[in-house]
Amino acid sequence: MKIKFLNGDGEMSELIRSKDWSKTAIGSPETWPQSLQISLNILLNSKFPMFLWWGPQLICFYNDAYRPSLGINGKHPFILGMKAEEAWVEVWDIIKPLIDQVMEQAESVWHEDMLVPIYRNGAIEDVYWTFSYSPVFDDAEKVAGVLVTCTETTEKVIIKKQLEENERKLRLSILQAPLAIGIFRGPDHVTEIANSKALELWGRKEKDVLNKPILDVMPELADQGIKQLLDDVYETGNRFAAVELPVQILHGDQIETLYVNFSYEPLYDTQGKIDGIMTVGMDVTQQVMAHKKVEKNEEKLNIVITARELGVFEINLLTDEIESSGRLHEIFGYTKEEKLSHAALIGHLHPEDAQTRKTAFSEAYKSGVLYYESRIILRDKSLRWIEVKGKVFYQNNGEPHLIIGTLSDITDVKKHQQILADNERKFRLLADSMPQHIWTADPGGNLNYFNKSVFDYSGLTFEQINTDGWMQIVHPDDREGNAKTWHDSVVSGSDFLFEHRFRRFDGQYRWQLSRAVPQKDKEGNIQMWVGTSTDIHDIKELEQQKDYFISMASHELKTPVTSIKGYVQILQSVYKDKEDDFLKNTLKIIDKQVLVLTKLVTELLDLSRIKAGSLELSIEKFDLAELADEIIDEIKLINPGHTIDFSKECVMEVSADRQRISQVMINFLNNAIKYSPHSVCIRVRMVKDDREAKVIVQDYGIGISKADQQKIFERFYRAEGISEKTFPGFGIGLFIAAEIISRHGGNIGVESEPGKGSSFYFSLPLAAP
Amino acid sequence: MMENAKNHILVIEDNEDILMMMEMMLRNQQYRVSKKADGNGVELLIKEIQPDIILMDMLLSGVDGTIVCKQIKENPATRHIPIIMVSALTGGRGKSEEAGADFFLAKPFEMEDLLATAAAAFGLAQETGG
Repeated sequence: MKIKFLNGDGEMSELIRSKDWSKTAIGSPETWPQSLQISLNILLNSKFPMFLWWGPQLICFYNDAYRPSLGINGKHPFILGMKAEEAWVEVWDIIKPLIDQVMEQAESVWHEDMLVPIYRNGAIEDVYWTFSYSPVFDDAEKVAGVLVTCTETTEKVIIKKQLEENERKLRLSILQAPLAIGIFRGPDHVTEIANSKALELWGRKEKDVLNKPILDVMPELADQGIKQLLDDVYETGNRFAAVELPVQILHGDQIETLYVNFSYEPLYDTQGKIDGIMTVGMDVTQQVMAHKKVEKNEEKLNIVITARELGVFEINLLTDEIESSGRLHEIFGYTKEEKLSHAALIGHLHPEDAQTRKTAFSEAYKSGVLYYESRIILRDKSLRWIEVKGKVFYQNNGEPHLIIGTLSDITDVKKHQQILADNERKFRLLADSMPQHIWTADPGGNLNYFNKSVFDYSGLTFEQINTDGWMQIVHPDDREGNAKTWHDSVVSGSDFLFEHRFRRFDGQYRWQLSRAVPQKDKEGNIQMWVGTSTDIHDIKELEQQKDYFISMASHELKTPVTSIKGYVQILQSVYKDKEDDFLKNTLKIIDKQVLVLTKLVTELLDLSRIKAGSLELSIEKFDLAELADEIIDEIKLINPGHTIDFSKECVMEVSADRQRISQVMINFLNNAIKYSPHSVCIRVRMVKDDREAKVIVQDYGIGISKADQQKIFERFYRAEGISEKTFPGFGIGLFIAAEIISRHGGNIGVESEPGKGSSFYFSLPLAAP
Repeated sequence: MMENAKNHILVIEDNEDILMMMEMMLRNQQYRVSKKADGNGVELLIKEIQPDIILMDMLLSGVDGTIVCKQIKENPATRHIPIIMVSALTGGRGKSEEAGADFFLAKPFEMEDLLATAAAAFGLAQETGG
């Protein structure tokens, strides 16, 4: 049978032709209606996959193009001519409503990438379809069948799903990445994604940056060229990458400089057009800081090496090869270019120092540190000192294999040390040859050096003094005062001056005068104390003997004076009424000279009392002005050649030793008379304020120079007149006067001009009313 | 000079010249003067001659004048006799007071001071000695 619409040479045409349709619901092909025949003709000739359900039973037809979708070991070929319900059991639930919709409402149905699993290849497989169900009308224009035009999109859908999965994974990996990653979209660089690292780097929160132009969110980047970089990448597609770029970013409320490694990668859309930028970055601030520190240290090291003019070397201990710097060559007297082996260097070592070097190296292998000083002899035979320092590096097996170190020329230092040592020796010798004890102390007052004399005198060693302290040689009675005075000096920085007794090696204590002065630096800080102790024992004894002698002598002198004085006065009283003027004048002169002698003896005694600290005062209340009046009257009697100008004006009550104060006044007046040989007038004034009374005795005599005014109250000072004419007296009157006034808590002084006269004054506190 | 008037003075001084000088000064005032040139046996002498006042030097050969003075002042029989102590020693006044002397005169002294002190001592003797 030759049926025209089944003329095709395809597999399905052949199958339809060969199938016995007479047993089927639609009968033999010759009986098939025109509409079915036309539909099948189109179907079988189409290269596009098509399927047809025909008639109320929905008999299945399909073409060669549809055939692959049924797979191997599936429905093909037995569903041809089968009822749809039987042929598509596994998907009937899905397709039945669609078929019904077409059959009943004559409407086409369209679905894209729809999952319609089918049995093929021996199993139910997930198959995706893009298809249309369209009605096929019969000759009576009723819907008689459903034409399925379809294409299997399983592969496309799977690829799409994979793509989506990939993107999901990418997003996830971006978000979880340990690098800062962000994606900006569009020409305004709107943030699409920013992972937590990116947010951390940017110092922003996700809600603040997402879907906003990044430069709006981070305005601080605008003037750092970032916008230009982003725009360039967006426009040109050229990737940008930066390493350790400093970027200022607002973190919290302050701008921080961060060092960042980052890149901007262009992102393309499906058309190959740039639609975004991915940034991948990393905060390397800490690493940069660490680098910088290392660089700085290296720089410092170089500065040190250069500044100290250090030669640098590296010795391979296994091969004995040495690498050395130009400076090291210089130190050894070579040019930088000359080749220098380790052996050659060792060859320059002073023979006496060879052992030093050897010992230093064997020590270094143990300790890891090399250090030694030695002499080297250069090619020109000159001698230099070097200092070698190094560090040993070890192999894994513990064997030393490398020494890296520095070498410096310390010749000048050594010379300086030598000079210092020479000086030190010289001064030590000098100090040791002194009979005085010489010692030094640190700024805290701890004694740290004693000359030989101290050890010779005390019989102690340095160790003994150092262990038990120097105070052990000081007399127990003097220790407290000694310690206090020394402490006061150390604290105040003022000179130390003290008399104390030191125990000699034989146990005898001898008086010493110790003096120490602080040595200060330019800023005035005390660097050390230098002290001396001088044996004044013999001088002190002599002084005591002298004081004793003065005391005894004055006492012994008094006896004849008493005798002379007494007999003269007896004679005067016996011859009082006689006419013998010569006798009377002579007796008067003797009496006057005995008075002078008495005064001298009294002064000597006072002096020894002052020295012994036994000048006694017997205090009483009296009127100073009245006393002055009395004394002036007496003096006037004895010295009729001088006028004393004084008028008692008011009462000046003081509490004092009347006898002693009159002694001072008499001294002032006698001096005024004595040193005014060519002037007759003496003026006495008295003034008082609410605190003290002041007596001023003014003369118009020879006066006293400024320099002498300082010394006039010292012991045994005396004025000298023109042509070396001396004035009688021991010169101790003012010394005693000063002592008396000082003991009363008053002041004594002088104002004078040579040739014009002097004003002596003393003041006493007024008595309490 | 009244018959009963006190006028007997014992002068103890080991310097003969001064002893004689003081005797002359005092005799010139009509005082009766007994002399002694050392400090030994002073108490016995006092008992014997019964002076009204005593003038003595502090430094006597043989014995310290202050001890003699103390002994006189500690003895109820002699303690009423006023004593004038004379001395050239530093601090003599203090020692003299310590020893119980009634008056002190520093050497060298003015004749009028000696006589004034003696008069004062006789006055004191008059009051206390009865």
